[in-house]
Amino acid sequence: MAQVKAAEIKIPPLKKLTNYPEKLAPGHRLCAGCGASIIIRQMYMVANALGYELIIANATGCVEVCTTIYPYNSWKSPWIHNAFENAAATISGVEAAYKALKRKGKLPTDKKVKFVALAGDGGTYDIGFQSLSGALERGHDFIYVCYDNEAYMNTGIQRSSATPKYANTTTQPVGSESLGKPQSKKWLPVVAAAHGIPYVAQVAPSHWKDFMEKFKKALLTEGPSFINAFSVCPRGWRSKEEEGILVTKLAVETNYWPLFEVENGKWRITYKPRNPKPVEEYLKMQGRFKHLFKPENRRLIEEFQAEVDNRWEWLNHMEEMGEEKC
Amino acid sequence: MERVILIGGKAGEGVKEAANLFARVLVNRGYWVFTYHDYPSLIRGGHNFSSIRFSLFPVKSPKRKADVIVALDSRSVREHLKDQKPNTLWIVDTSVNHEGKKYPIRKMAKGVMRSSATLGILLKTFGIPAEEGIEVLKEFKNFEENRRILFNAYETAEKMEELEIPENEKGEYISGSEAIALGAVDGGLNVYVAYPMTPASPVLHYLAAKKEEFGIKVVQPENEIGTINMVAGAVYAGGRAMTGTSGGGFALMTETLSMIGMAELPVVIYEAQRGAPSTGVPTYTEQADLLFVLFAGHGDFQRIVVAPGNAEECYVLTREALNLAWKFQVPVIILGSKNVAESYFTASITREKVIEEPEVWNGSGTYNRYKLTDSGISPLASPGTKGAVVKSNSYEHDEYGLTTEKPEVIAAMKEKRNRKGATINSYFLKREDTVKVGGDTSSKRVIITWGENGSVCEEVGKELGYKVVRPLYLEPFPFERIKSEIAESEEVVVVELSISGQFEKLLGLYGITPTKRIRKYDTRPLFVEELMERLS
Repeated sequence: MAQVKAAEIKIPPLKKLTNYPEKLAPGHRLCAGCGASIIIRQMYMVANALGYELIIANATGCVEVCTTIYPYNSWKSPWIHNAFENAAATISGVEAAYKALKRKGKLPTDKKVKFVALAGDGGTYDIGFQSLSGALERGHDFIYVCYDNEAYMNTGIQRSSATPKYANTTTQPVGSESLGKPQSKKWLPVVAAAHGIPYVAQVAPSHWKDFMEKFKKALLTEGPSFINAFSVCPRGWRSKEEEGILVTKLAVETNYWPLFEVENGKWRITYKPRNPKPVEEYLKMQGRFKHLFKPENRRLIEEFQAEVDNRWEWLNHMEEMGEEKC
Repeated sequence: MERVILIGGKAGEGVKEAANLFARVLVNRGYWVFTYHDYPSLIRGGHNFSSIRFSLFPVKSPKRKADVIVALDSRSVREHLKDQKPNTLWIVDTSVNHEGKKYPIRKMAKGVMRSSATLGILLKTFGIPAEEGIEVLKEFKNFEENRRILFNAYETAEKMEELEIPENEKGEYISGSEAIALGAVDGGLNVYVAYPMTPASPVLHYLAAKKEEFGIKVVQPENEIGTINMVAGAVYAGGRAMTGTSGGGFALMTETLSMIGMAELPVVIYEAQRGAPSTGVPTYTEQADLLFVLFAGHGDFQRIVVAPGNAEECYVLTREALNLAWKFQVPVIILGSKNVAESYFTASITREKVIEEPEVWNGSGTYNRYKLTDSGISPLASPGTKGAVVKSNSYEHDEYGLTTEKPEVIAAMKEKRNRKGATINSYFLKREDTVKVGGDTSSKRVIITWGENGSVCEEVGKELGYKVVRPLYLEPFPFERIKSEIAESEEVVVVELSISGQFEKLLGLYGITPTKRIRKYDTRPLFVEELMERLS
C-alpha cells in the first residue's frame, strides 16, 4: 500500500523545500560540519512538504545535548527526551497514548502526525538496541532514525558497536600493541530488516534526493520504519569540518555506506556507483584511520576493502533474490 | 604563599590543557597544586574554565577568588568579574575589551594548541624559565610546533612577579580518576569493564590506553547491564574485575547487584556521582546518590561502601576495595564524585601492589561453594579447580549451591550471610582508620562530612577552629567512632552536597544529630571562601 501512495506523492523541488520554516532552529551547538543537523533538516523538509507534524523522542546524545541548552531550545516540534536507552520505548508510549486519545475523541483524527525516535549509534546499536527491537516487533507506527556517527561522540569518542574496524577511539586506542577496534561494524539495518517491518533504509545526507525519497516512504508507511543515516563527525573522526559532505559522498562512492532499502521484504540498492572508488580514499580523509597508512599496515586496508566488497556483494545478492520472486 | 590562577575560554581552545600544563610545571618545582576543571556538557563552545591553586603548603580544595585571571574571550570576563580580588591581574586576549595585560593569544595558535601560548604567557608572568614549560610539552605529538608557540608567547609577555621557590620534594600530579585506576591495578585488577558515563569515563580511557602496560583486559560492552554482568562472570571465573559508572548507570546495575549479593561474588563498582536525578548535570558534582548506593538492590545482603575524598584516598581505598571484595565475597562500592574524579592533585602516592589472597578451598571432601561457617565466609574455589564443582546461584541455595525452597535451608543460608555481615562489622571495628579526623582536632566545635568536602572542611576547620570528622567507610558505618569524636562537642555541623540532607539522614539512623547544617546543591563544589562565610 505504501508503495502506491509513495509513487503518487511527489516531493516538491528543492527551491520550494527551502521556503518552509526551519523546525530545527539555528543557534544550536552542534559542531561545524556535523552530519546530524543536516539529517534532521532534510527530514523536516520532507515532513513540511507533505504536511506532516513530527513528534520526536530524542535519546541522550550529541543532538539532545546540543539542541537543548538551558535556557534555549532549537526544536519547533513536540519533543521529548527520556534517557539514553529508551527512545524507541518512549515513542511507543507516546504513540499508544495518541491512538488511545484519538479513540476517545480527545484528539482530532484528521491530523497528519508522525512519531519519530531519534538517536545516535550508541543509543541505537548498543544501549537502546533492546528497546528498538521491542518497538519494531510490536509494530508501533513510527520512524526510528539513527544518526550514525560511529562512536560515542559527546562523551569523549568511545567505541560503539557501530564503530568500524580499525578506527581509533578512546576506549580502543591505537597504540604500539593495538590497531584500534578489532571488531567489525554491526550491520544494524540488516538486523532491523530481520524484524520483518514494512520499511528499512540506509541513507546519506550527501545524496539528499535519495534521502528524501526514503524518508517520504517512511512517512507514508503504516507501522515501524528504520532509517540508518550516515552522520559525519569531524571532531571524532578527525576529518576536516569543511569536508563533511565530501567524506559522506566518498562513503557512498566507495560502497562503504551503500544506499539501500528493504520495502515489505524486498531489497533494493537505490544507488550503484558506476565505478566504485577504493575504500582507501574514504579512509585517508580521516585521522581515526591514520595508522592504516603506515607501510606495515597496508594489508589492513586490503582487509577493510574485502569486507566492504563482501557486504556489497551480499546486498546485491539480496536484491537479486527479490527480483527473481517478482 | 598561595596563588589562584583562573583560565577561561571556549571548549576546544585548550583551557583545560593549559591549566594542566602550567600545573605540571608548578608541581615539578615542588609546589602543591589543586586544579579544578569546570566545563559544561557540550562538545564545542560554551564557557570552560580551569582554576589552578598552588602553594608552598598542601592544598586539596578549590578557591573561587583568583589572583590572575586569563580570559581568552569576553564571556570569560563577564563570567569571572565576581571572582576577582582588588588586585587581580587580568591577562586578556587583545580582542577582549577589558583592562589588563593584553596579548594576542588567539592569534598565536589555533584550537588546543592555544594552551601552549597560554602556558608561555603564564611562565613569563611568574618569571619561570621557558625551558620548564618545554619539559612538560615533550609528550605532545606536535612538540616542535608547540615549542615554537610557547617561545613566541614567552617573548611577547611581560614578567610581573617572582614566586617564592618551595623546598618540598616534587610530588605527583594526578587526577582522582587516575588514582582510582592505579589503585585498582595495584589491588590486582585483571579486567576492567565499563560503559562510558561522565564523570567515571576517565578511568576507562586511562586503563584502555595502558592495558598492555598493566597486563589487564579492558572491555566496553553495550550498556551497563552488560557491563555488570560481565564483571560478575569475570569474578566467577576467578579474575579480579571492576566496573565504573555514575548514578544512572548504577541504577541499571542494581538488579545484578542483588544477584551479586545472593551469589556472594567479589565485585567492585566505582560510582562517580554527578548532578542528579536522571541525566541531571553530567559534568558537575553532587552527593545525592548516597542513600541510593547504600540501599540499592532488593533483599537483604551485605556490601561495603568506601568514600575517598582526594587522590591519595582514591588510590588506597580502590586498592583496598578489591581486597575487601575477595576477602568477604561481597560487592564493594567506591562512592566518588566529579570534583574528586576530574580534579588534579599534587599527591604523594607510593605505588605498591597489595594483593591479599582470599580464603580458598583446601581441596578435601566435596566442595561446597556456600559452606556454612562461623564467620559466614565460605572458602572460594575457581571453576577448573580439581575436584570442585563451583555452583554460584542467584536463586536461594543450599551449601553446595543447588537451588532450594526448603524453609530451614533458606533460613540457614540467610543466617550465614548475616554472620558474614557481623564478621565485616567486627573487622572494621578493630581498625583505627575508618574515620579521618582533621582540622582543629582539639576543638569542641565539629564538622561531620564525607567524600569530596573533606579537604575544604579541613582547611576551613583549621582556620576557624573546627574539628573535622569524616568517615572513609560508609558501610559498615563507623558510627561508634564518630560518636566518640563528637562526645564532648558543643556544636556539630553537617556539611554535604544534597538538598534533602542524605548524609544527615544517615547519621540520624545511628542517633547522631547535628546542631547546624550546611547543604549545597547547585552542583558546584564547595569553595573555601564559601564555606568560610557559611560557617562564620
